[in-house]
Amino acid sequence: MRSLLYTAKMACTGKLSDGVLPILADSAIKIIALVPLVFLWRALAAQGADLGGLRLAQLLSYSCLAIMLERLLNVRTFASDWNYDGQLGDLFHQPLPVFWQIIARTAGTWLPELALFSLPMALLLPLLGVDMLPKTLWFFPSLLLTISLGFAVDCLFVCVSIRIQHASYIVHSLRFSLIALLSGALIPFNLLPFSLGKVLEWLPFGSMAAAPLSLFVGAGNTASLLAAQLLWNALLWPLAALCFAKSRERMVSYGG
Amino acid sequence: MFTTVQTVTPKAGTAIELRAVSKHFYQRQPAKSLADWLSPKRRQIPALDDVSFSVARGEFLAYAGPNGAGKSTTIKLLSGMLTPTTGEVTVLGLSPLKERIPLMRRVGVLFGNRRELWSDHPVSASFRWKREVWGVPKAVFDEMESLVLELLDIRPFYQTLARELSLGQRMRAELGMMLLHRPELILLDEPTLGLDVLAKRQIIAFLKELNERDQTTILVTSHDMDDLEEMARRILLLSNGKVAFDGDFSALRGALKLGKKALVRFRNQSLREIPYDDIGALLQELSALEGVAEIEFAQNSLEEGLADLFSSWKAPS
Amino acid sequence: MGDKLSLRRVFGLLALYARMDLDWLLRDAKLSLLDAANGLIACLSSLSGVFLLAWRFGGVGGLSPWQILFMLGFTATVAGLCMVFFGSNNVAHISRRIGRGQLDHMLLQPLPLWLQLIAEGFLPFSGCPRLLVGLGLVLWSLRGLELSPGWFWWLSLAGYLACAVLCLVGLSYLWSALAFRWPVAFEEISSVVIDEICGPLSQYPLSILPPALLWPLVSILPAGLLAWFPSCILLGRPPLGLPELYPLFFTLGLWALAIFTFRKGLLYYVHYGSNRYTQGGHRN
Repeated sequence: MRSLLYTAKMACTGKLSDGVLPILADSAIKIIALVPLVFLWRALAAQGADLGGLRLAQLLSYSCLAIMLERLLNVRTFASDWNYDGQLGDLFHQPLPVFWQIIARTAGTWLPELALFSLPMALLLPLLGVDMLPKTLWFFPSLLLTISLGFAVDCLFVCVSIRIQHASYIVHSLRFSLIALLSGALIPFNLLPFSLGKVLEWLPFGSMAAAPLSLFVGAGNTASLLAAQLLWNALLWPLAALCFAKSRERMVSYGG
Repeated sequence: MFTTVQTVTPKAGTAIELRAVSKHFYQRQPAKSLADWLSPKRRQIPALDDVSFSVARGEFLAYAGPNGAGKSTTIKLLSGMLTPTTGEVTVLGLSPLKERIPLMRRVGVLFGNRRELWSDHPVSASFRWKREVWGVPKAVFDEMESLVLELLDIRPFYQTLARELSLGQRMRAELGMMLLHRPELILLDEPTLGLDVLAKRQIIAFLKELNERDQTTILVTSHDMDDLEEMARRILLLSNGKVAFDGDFSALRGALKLGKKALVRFRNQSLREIPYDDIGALLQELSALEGVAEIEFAQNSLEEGLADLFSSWKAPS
Repeated sequence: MGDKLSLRRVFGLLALYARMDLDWLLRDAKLSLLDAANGLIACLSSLSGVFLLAWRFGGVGGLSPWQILFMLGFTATVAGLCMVFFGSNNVAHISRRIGRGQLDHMLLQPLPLWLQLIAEGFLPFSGCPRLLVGLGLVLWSLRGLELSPGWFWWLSLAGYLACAVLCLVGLSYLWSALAFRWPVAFEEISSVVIDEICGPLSQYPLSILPPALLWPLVSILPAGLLAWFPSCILLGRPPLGLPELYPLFFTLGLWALAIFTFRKGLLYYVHYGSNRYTQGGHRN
C-alpha cells in the first residue's frame, strides 16, 4: 500500500513539475466550455420550456459539477498512451500489481486539479448562487461506483487498443465520442427528446456520469441509479480482468 | 587543452568550410526569487566557440567529442537548421541557411535518433515519397534504389511497415532512403547508435564503399572510436565547443601518449594489471611475483585514452 | 532534379499525399472501416447534443431546429475540410511539430516550408467522413428549411466555408508561433485552440450569449466565425450589425498576423534551435 501511495505521490508531483500554470490554463478552458452551457440553460428557462422536471438551479449545479469532476466521471488512465508508445510493458518491471500501478498513477494525477480547480470552484460557485451541496449522501457511494466503473471501462478500451495495435488513436477517439454522447455529462438525460434518456440511463456509460450527477442535484430514482451502477460494475470488472490478462502477451511484446 | 595537430591538408575543392563559427545557446536558470520568476535569468552556453575547419571533397571525416561538445550543433549548422551566432558556414559552396533548398538536393542528412521513414507505410512507400519530394530523376532513383536494397540488405523488409522494423533494419532503411538522391555530401549524426555488431558492420562497410567508389564526402559523428577509426581517415575532436584535435588517427594515437600495461594471470586464476613506462622496472617487478601463469603486454586502446582525455577536460584545472 | 515551383508541382505533391492516404486506407479493410466509423460517430456525437436540445425545445437562441441543423452542418463541414486539407502529420496542429523539435525534418526537404505545409496535410480519402456528414447535414437542413438557393448563395456558402477553415488554421498558426519560444508549454496550444475552445464553442447558437461575451467570440477568439455568424448571414439573419464580408476581412487580417508571428518564430528557431525532440506525429 505504501508503494502505491508513493507511486500516486510521484504522479501527483510530476503533474506539478511544470508549475501550476498548465493546470490553471486547463481550468480556464473548462470554464470557457461551461459558459455557453450556462447561457443555454438560461435561454431555455427563459423560453418557459419544460426542462424535464429540472429547475434552472439544478441544471446549473449539474453542469458545474460535471466540469469540476470531469476526470473522475470519465476515467482515463495513461495506459493507452503508453501502449501506443510501446511502454506499457515497463509496468511489469515493478514489484507491484500492474493494474494497481495504473490506478495509483492515475489517481495521483487527479489530485492537483481537484485541489487547484475543483475545490476553489466548489467554494466560489455558491457565492454566484450555484448550489454545490449534494441533495443526497448517496451521491458519494455513487461517485465511487462511477470511478470504479470508469477504470473497468478504460481497461476494456485499452485492451481493444492493444488488440488493434496500429490504430489506438481510433479507439481513443471513438471512446470519447461515445462517452460524450452517452454518458450524460454534457446534456442531462432529462432534457433529451424521444425518451432517449430512459434508455441511456441503463447503459454502462449512463452509469458513469449521469448517475452521480443526477443524485447530486436530487433528480432520478436513487435505487435504480445505484442498482444500474452496481450491475455494470459486477459485469464489467470480471470482463476487464479477463481481457487484461488475455492482452498481457501483446502488451509486453509490443515495442520490444 | 589538447594540442591541435593539422596533418591533413584539404584537397582542391572544399565541401565544408567553417570560418570562426560560434554558436551560443541560453539555458534558463532556476528561479530563486520573485524577480527571477518574473524575469528568468539565462546562462549562455557556448556550443561552438570560434571553430574553423574545412573538409575537402571526397574526404571521410570523423567528428568526435564528449556529450555536449557541439557535434550535433555543427551538423544542424551545416544543414541549415541553425544559424551561427558569429562566423560563416559554407557547404558545397552554398550558404546553408540562405540556399537551403538547392543545398538539400545535394546533401544527405541522417540523425541516428530521429525518424525520417513514414511509420504507417512500408519502407518502399517512404522511398517513393522521397523520389517525388526531392524530384529525383527516375534513372538516378532506380540505380540508387537497387544499390541500397542490395548493399544494405533492405530487400527482405522493403514492403514491411516502418514501425514494425527492428532498430537495425530501421537504421539501414533510413540510411538507404537518405542516399536515394545520390548526395554529394553526407552528414551522419551517430548513425550506429544502439545497433548490434552485424548491423554496424553492414553500415560501416557500405559507407566506406560509398566514399571510395563515388568520392562522396562524409562527415560522421559517433561515440564509438573503433567505428570511427575503421571508417574515417581524419578525426576532428571537439571539446567545449572548440577544436581540440584535427588530424589522422595515427597522429591522435601518438598525441594521446597511450599508456602501456602488463596483464598478469596467476595460477589461482586471479588477474593483475601493471601499468608501466620503463620496461626494465617492469621486468624487475614481474620477476618478484610468484605463481605467475601468463603475462600479456598491451597498449591502452584509443577509447581508453580518449576517456582519460575527456575526463581531464571535465576536471577543474 | 525539377526545381521549379509551379502549380503542377503543387498538384504533383498533393497527388503524392493522396496516393499515400489511399494506400494506407486500402492496406487493411478492418482498419479502414473502423476509421470511417470513427469519423462518422465522432462527428455525429459532437453535434447531437445541441441538435437534440433544439429539437426537444423547438429551437434555441432564436434559431429553429432546422436552422440549428444547418449551423451544425456548417461547422461539421468546416471541421471536415480542415481534416481533408490539413489533417495529416499535424499540419493543422503545427505547435506539436514545433514543440517536439520536428521542424528539422521539414528543413531537410528541398522544398519551401509553405509548400510542404500545403501538401503534407492532405487526406482526401481517410479524412472525408466528417466532411460528408457535414455536407449531408447542410443539404438535409436546406430541405427541412424548404430553401432552394441560387448559385450566388452556393458561392457564398463556399466562400464562408473557405474563410472559416482558413480562420481556424490561421488561428492555430498564430498561437503555435509561441511554441518556437516555449516548446514544452505550447506544444499542445493548437489542439487547445482548435479542439478544446473554438471547435466546441462553434457548435452553439451563440445568440444565447450576452453581447459582452459575444463580441470577443467574433474577434479575439473567433469561434463565432466558424459557424454561427456565417450561418446567420446565409440564412438571411445577419447578426451584430456587421457587414457580410466581415469574415473575409477578419481572416485576411488574421493571416497577415499569423504569417508575421510565424516568420518571427521561425527566425527564433533557426537562431536558438530546439534542444527538444520527441518522435511521432510528423510521419504517420
